Amino acid sequence: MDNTIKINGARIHNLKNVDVEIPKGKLTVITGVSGSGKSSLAFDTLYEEGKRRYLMFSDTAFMVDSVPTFESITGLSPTVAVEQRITRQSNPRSTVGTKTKIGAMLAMLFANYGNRDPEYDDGLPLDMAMFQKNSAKGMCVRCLGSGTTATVNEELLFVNPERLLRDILPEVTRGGTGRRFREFCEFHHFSFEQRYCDLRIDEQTLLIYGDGGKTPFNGVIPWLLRSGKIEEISGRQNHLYKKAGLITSKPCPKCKGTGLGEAASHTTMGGKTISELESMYIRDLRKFFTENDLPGKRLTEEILLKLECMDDVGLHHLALSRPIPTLSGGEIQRLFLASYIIAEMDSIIFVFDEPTIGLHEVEKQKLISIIQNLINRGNTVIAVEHDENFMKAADYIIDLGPRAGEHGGRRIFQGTYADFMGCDNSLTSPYLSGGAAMPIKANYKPVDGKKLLALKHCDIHNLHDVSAEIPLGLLVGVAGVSGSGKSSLISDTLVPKLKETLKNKLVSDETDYETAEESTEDEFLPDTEIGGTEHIKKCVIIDQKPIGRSRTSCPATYTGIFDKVRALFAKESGMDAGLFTVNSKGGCRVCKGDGVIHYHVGMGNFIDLECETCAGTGFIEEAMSVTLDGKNIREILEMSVTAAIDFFKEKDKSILKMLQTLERVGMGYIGLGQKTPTISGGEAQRIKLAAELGKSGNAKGNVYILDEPTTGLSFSDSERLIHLMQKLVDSGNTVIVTEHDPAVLSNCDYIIEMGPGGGSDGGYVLATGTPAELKTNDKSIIGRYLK
Amino acid sequence: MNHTFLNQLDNYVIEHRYRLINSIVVYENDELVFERYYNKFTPEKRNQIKSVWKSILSLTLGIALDKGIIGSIDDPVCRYLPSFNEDIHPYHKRMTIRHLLTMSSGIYWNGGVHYHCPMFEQLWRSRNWVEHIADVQMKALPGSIFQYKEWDVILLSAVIGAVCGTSSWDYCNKHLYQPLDIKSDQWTQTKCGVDFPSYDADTTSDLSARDLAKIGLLMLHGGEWNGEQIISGEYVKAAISPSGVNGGYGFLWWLSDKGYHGRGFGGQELNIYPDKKIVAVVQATVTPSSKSYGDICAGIISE
Repeated sequence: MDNTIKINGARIHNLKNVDVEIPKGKLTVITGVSGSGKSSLAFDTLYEEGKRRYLMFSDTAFMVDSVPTFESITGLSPTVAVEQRITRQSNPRSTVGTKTKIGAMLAMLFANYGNRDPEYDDGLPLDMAMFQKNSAKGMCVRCLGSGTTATVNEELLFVNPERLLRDILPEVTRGGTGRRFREFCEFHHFSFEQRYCDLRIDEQTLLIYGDGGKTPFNGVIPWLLRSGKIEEISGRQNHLYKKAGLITSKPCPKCKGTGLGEAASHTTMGGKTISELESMYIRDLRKFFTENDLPGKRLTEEILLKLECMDDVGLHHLALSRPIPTLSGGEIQRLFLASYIIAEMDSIIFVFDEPTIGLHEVEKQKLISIIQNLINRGNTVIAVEHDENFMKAADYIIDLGPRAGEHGGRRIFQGTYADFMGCDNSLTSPYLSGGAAMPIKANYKPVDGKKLLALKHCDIHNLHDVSAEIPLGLLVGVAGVSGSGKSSLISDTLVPKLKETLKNKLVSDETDYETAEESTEDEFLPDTEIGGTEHIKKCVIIDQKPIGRSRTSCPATYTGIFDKVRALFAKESGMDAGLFTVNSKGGCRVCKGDGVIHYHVGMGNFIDLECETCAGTGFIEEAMSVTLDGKNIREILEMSVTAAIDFFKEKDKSILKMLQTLERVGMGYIGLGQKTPTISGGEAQRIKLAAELGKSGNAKGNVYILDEPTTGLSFSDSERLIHLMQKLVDSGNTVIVTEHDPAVLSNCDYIIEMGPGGGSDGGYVLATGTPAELKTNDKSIIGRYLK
Repeated sequence: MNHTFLNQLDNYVIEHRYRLINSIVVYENDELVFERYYNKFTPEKRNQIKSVWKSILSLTLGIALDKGIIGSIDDPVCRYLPSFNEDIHPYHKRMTIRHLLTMSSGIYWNGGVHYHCPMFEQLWRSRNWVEHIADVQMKALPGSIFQYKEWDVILLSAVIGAVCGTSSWDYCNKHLYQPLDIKSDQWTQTKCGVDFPSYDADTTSDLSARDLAKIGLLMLHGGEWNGEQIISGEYVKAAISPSGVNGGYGFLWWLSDKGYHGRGFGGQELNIYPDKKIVAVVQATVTPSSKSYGDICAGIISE
């Protein structure tokens, strides 16, 4: 038997005929700067081929051979991988409980052994589906399982009968709504300037409840009720209506927000309903099952085993009710890791994508030992990773590079960690050997006692009446183990409070409004006070949510470069700019601009084949025939940011400026037309940062809020990002960054550390001060890891 | 009337292995022209009528309107059912009796197999059906979309029960069944006092084929029976005219270019062909797999 996996001549994406040998039964880490080809090697070559071969011979899937992307691969075993980028898109109703199947097991347990409230006991047997809110048998009939209901405030709507029709709803005369409303008014001979009270009673009814489909405006109340559904009304309008108090979403009064029907609400185990158990932190739930002697041993033991594994991989701070789309990439990956551990398989090749993301130094150690257990059991683990301690734990290192994109894709090194220290060509090894240590801040910018952003009585989630002062004009780090309350303090308290007080001076994605429906983000925090916002000019939130929500969103569209490029093409050709986008006239009619056609081949399997009509370009021929300096629109979208900088140097200043900003945030390697689903959360965040920097140029007095911005960045790219954040601070802005990376934290001026534990063990401010102060603070946990 | 087809109907039923059919009865010009029973059925033996009950409930409502115990077909439901007057949903106050009759209440319905909503199980277990239905999410403005569902007829039965003081069964029996000499057991009543016999296998609303045909003959005669106006001709006409939301549906009666029809799960058919003055009834044993025998009546009236 081969004891190595040999890959010869790998050449997908930027890989340049890479030959590597990976020892089986060991932990191998693939390193390199972002865009150097790590994922291309680990996922697009090794994992894809491992999966393909396994599925082919087991007849579980039907696949077609695509263009070979390598010479040969030998020594493969069945391969499983968790890519962060793929699992990010997921069913909004999927939760930790449904994904891990613990939810179904709990439902089974309750259906068979639950104690029923005699008053609600109808004598009929319970059914497992009655404890699952995604089942029609179990869902609350009023909210259909969502746990929230939308109410229209009819009184407020007609509180002023003299209101003109144009003011009947906020912005009712603007945009798409405006077009519909105008058509409605014209059809019924109403005027925008008419007073509501001057309409006849039947006309008022028409206005309120619509005309049954005669015109596209369906009446004020149906319109408001539909605004709860994002696919029909823009997130912005939904937001406006909520702000005006016309529509309120609150926990469903029938099920009290649990989303479950009556039978489930009146059945308990150990004194708790299934909803109560599902909203407990994993760690507390584990305790609940250990401490209570519950019937159904086989089920409870299985549940307990799963909970233990989740606790072990650092997911103790999650609840089963937590929606999957709100998890970070790292959390999702560890969720899968937990299920692999439970499976107890050996001789499997596991491919991981930065498994340490989002983990505190303490938690990383635990994760490394779990992965080493997988290896001891006879598995092979290959991880793409930037974390120093993780690399140190590796048996074998493969370094790709030296740089990103065109300048990368070569094998720089393969061998042991010790040998790697002596490698001269790598951009990574010097940071590990100490040859090129990360710059560490020595002079901290002092706190200005007059310029503080003060939060008082924060008590959302697990926060215990927390008060915190965030000094303005500094680089402020927020640290703490997973679930310690970092996000609760920043994303769920500071951001909504700023939203409330700053209103339109707050910049965040439109997409925020969409998720507001399900999340608690917009929850009004009546007890929490905020002070010091008068010092803030503008607040910019830069999160890890995907850029744009259309399938054709890409860095070029998000940063606005694409509009300018199209304008250049339009000028060049004298044709309409709409010709140069797949979303408009330029899109291939057959594949609708995707360039590929999805065929369903049965059993839920799909194959994608290149669209023959457009030869995979997504554009119609007319659009492809126009060139700008020899390049057509498709070729420009295929350029990396770095390549595009060369191309646009002499052509367009504003495009060039945005491209350079993208490169400054470490995104030089990304393709201009790379589609949203293939962009990681960390990459999305840096693109947003670039877009914001490109817009506001030399801003002062702004607050930038970032969430783990170094996710997925190599040492050298992290260094550039730290430098960039420092520049923002130097020109008079505040940067607030939640972070685990000791290198970033060591370069902050001030750190707020949350803790001490996660979930119910956290929720306090553990320590505050400069990195140097934290190093000597006994209470601080992160202090001892700072540089 | 295709007499050749009728003469060979026994063979037709055997050839097509229609083993579940129990009775076929045809009237032409008020005369019984054809009558066959299978599986030991007799003219007196009653068969389940399933959702044909809905069409009968519609007539019951018509009588209540005629007698003035319900003011208008456009009266809001919340006037009769207080659960719909609690402002649970802004659409509730817009829901009228007409909407219930035309399957357009707009209440959310998760159409499962054979029209049976999986949410029905929750209703079954709930202590007060009307309150429970009032809690169900609204999908659309009442009167805007047609959706065949049980909620609407349950509410209608509850409305009739509420206005007549007893139950919709009592009212139907007294004002429709007794004058026509139709024999039926009392309709199944739910634990909260609403008569609703068309869902479960154990429910009672069974009628003999001849009795079911009487309903058809009554309709054919515009609501008149032996010189007595049982239901106003006006209501009968309205009940078999296309509703605004579905051209193929009246007030709980199915409409076609040939006539109008009561239909029930498992092949229960009450067909009235006014142009030919024909009333044809097919009854069959109900099994979980939905069977239908539309070809029989199509053959009977074919030229």
